[in-house]
Amino acid sequence: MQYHIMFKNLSKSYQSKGAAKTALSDVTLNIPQGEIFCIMGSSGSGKSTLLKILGGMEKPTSGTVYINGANMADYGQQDYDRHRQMAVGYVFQDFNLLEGLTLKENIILPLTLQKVSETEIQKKYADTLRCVDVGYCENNYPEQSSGGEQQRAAICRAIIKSPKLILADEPTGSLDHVNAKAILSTFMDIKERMQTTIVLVTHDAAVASYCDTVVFIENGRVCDTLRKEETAQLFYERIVTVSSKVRGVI
Amino acid sequence: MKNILQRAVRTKAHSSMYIMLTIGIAMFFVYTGLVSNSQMISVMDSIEYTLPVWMTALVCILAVFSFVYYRYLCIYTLDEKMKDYGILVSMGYNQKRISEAFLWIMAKSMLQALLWGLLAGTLIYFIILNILNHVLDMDFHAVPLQGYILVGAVYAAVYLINAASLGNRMNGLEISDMLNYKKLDKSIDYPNLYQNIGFALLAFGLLLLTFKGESYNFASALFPMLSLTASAYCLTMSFSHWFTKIFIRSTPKYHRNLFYISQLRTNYKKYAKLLTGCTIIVIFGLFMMIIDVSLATDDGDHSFEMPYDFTVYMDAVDGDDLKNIEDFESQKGTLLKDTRLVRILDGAIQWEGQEFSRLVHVMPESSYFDLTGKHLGLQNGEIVVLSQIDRNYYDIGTQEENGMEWGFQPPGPVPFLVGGKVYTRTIVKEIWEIVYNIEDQTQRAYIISDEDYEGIVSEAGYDQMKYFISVSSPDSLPTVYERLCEISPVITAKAANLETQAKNKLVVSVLILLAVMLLLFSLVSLILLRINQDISEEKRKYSNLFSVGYTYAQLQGEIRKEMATLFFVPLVLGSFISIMYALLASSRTSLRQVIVTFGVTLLFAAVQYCFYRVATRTLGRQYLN
Repeated sequence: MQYHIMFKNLSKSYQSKGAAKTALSDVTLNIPQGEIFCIMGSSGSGKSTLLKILGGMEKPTSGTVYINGANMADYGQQDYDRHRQMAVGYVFQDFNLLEGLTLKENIILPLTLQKVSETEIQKKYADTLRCVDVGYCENNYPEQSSGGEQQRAAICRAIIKSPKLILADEPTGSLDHVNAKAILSTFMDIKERMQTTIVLVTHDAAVASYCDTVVFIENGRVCDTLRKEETAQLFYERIVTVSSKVRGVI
Repeated sequence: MKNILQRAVRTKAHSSMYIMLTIGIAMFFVYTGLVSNSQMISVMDSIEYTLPVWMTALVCILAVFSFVYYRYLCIYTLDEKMKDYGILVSMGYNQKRISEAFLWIMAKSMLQALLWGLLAGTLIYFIILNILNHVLDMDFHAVPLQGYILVGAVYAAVYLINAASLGNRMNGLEISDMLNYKKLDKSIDYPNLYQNIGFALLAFGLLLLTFKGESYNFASALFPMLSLTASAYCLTMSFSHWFTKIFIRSTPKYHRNLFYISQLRTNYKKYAKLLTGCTIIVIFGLFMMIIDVSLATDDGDHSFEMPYDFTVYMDAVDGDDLKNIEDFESQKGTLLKDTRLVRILDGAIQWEGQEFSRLVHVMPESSYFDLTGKHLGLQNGEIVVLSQIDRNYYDIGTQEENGMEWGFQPPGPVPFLVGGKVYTRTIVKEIWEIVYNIEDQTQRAYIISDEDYEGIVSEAGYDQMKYFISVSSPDSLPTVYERLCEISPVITAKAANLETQAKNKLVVSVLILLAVMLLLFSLVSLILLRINQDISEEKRKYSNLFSVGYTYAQLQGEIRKEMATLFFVPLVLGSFISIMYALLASSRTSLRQVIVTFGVTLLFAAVQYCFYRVATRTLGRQYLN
């Protein structure tokens, strides 16, 4: 099933201490289905805001977001709830697992909201473990698990409801190189197996080099877009160059 | 350098927690002052003789509560700053100096709270006394010196003990421990054990209440209260344990409540501590409110206990006295409904192995006949004990011995003192009947044969009489009283007694209501304090849930569950203990009291429900915006 996302002239501003602060300005983007789509930018560039709008957690000040041709501005509260519950899986830098639940309980949490039967929950959990294995530590609480295990559990929590879209906000930010690489491989595997669109926010060029498309955002504006057409190493070099240009380093 | 250190060591203000401490000190002071005021004690005593006893017990519990609250405050503050102190030590600052600076800051804060608390307490104390003096025309005075001394001493001890323990704790840590300091997981290790001890203490407390001794004293008030309070502590400390077990038992329920279970597991000790405090407050608040409403709704119709309007006391009666009475009756005949002139001597008996200190009346059988028209047929050497208590109104504990039912003294020989000489006679019977006016409900009369009585009077060398008068109309009370003053200087009037009692009842009622208001304020403050402390962390959790897919309605549901735990777990547990205490500790339990107890509990629950609604709405706005 197609799942196509399009931003058109999207802007978002906040009121902070009486003054308006622009987070996004006139952003227009196309995110094709089944891609790992990377949004790159420095801190405060507006990339996380874009993710929140896409996740239905915030609404834009102006502009439109189309999902499969449907304008999100026409969504009612129930449509937003359905969007967050069924269509989107979120992965955060600091995992955001509930400390009082075991990894398994954290993973099945989204299904309990959809009033899925116990048998269905167990089946979906087993399917999820086939993609990302955390079965060996499923009864551990987050504080008893390593960063990599926690992030894998967070990914499981995002994919257990078979979402059409995974939004990952700096998913490797708290991990070492080895664990970061493992997490990115997991994302690629999920994309291959489930044809899920993954929108990933990062400021790390190495992470971005795993993605199919990289969009550069600075000061709330899209500055450049790169598509992966070469090896990861060459793509990485291209990203570093553009990134430096965008930030004004070169 | 010193200035930098002081600025670096400075803790967060935590003004809300210190305001709570100040209120606690003020409350502690007010109650210490009231309990040590002899006039107030006698007023309470006149209403219910157990009141001063459990008020004193309440002060003791408040002292313990002060210690626990202050310790919590210190540890909370230290936990926040420990990492910063580690950084300072790693930079070369002296660990001991940092710990001294920290304790000095805590001492200054404590001193400020103590001064403000004592000031507020003094104001409240004198406002209460002034209100009572002016509105109710009472005459309370006395500076609560004992209050200042006791409160000062208790809080000095609370500070010193906590300072010593915190100092040791800080100095005993390595730099790495301080740098990597994490708040201790203070959850209890053996929740099952706590749960079982809680139930055992609950049963023990109820048992103590059920099998209380004949006399009500400090120990019989304190020990059941302590036992029940400790049971509340153990049960609330382990509540999340058995609460979680209940949810896990059924899979759908378990799935529906995953976030709530997570909150129970993680906020385990935080909830438990708070809930214990709240439960204890509910126990005392509700118990006081029950007493207060019982007093306020008591119809106060004890006139049957005083059948005559006036009692005239006459010692060493001579012919002139009798002539005065004759003249009075002939002049005021139309104003009088009934008069009885009877011989009653003041005597004393030994009680609980002490000296002859407990007062009794000694009267001849003929006086009893004059008052009631009944014959007892007493032989010389025999006593019939007259307990002037209405058995339909009071629940009197009686026993049976040698075929005789008795409540005051068992049958058998008993010595009594009249006119400095001890006589021994034998109790053969006890009767319960309102016969004449008595000042003190616990006072009894020994009825002896006329011949015995004459013998005692002749040996004592004097006789005493009491002249009881009922008037035909309340309008004639002043005239009759005026004339009676010419007969004897000692006269008591029923109306005046009842009025005094009503006034005293109002005084006690105001005091208790004030205490309930203070306790309710503390309860809500504690809960709001807890919510306030964790608001940013909780907000993050709720935002996380939102991203997982929770809808606004589901998030509101989770908030409701949490608030219901905070507001209703203490209410359910506290009200159970309180109701049991109110019903079982009372010397008499009537249907009216049961209705009042449950009515007040519902009222208390309604107030709690309002706070619950307000908290739920406010938090909904805070977390979900």
